[in-house]
Amino acid sequence: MRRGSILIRMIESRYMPEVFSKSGKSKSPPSTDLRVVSEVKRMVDEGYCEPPWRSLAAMPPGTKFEAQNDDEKVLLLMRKHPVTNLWWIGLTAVLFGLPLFWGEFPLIASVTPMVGLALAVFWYLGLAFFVIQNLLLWFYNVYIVTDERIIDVDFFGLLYKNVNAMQIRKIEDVNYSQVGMFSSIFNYGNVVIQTAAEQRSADRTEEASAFTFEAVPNPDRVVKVIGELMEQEEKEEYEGRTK
Amino acid sequence: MDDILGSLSLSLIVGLFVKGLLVLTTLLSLVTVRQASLMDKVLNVPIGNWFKTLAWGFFFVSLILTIGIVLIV
Repeated sequence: MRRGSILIRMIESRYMPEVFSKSGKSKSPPSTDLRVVSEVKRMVDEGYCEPPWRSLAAMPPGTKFEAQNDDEKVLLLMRKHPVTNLWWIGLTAVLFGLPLFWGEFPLIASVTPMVGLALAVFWYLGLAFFVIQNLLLWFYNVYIVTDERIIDVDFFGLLYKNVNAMQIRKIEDVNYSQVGMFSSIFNYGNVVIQTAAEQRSADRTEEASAFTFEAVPNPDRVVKVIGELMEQEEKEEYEGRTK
Repeated sequence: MDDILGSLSLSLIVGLFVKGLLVLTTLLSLVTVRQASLMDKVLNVPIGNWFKTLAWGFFFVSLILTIGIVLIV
């Protein structure tokens, strides 16, 4: 049975009234085949699907990605923890107030008021550009786990994009690390996914693997979901061989 | 030659420099519009249009301010 159809059946049985549900009265406990779905469903129950800008979303509604297959379901959508944005937010706050002290610099103080105004306009436009860039890069640098693949979307600056996709069955091992005070306090970390043929990423991140989910929240739950997907994949392969 | 050098002031040089940078910022804001559109294509999310609107808004504000500064200063 396709994993996507299992998923839909689980959501139906959980959220639809029984009269609309195909399964009707019979509510059998989930079998081991449904472990993955139950984990994701648990996250949905805990409110992990909304709002759309959250950094770990389970089955986010209305989310699609490039090269998505027709029957492919997005299980997890991740981006860096919001606390990783503090550096540029703090820098912006400092730079925002800097023009108040321009009078202390003799070179800037000696220009005419109109040129000073032009300088201030350029300063704040540049600052707005900096903010928008960082906001876009944070929002669209995402990691996606579907019922078939994992996808790592990396954007760098204005003109560089790197998208890696890999089938679940090619994953050899998955682990995570939490290093530093902030990652312990806010519970985020790096999830490293090892493939059968280990390769370093060709991109500019110098990551330990082509698939490193950087600074994602609740890395333990992410590892659990991927681990269960791997188990399910192995089971499906085994059953396929024995048929 | 001396007349040209004499007419050059710090304000003039800084003004020209800032105008050039403002034009560059406007061009970069246009690239940001394209970038937001491409990013939305890679990952289509419900609030993707908000980011595109933000990028367009930034471009128009940059354009208006740049034209104003170039013409006035």
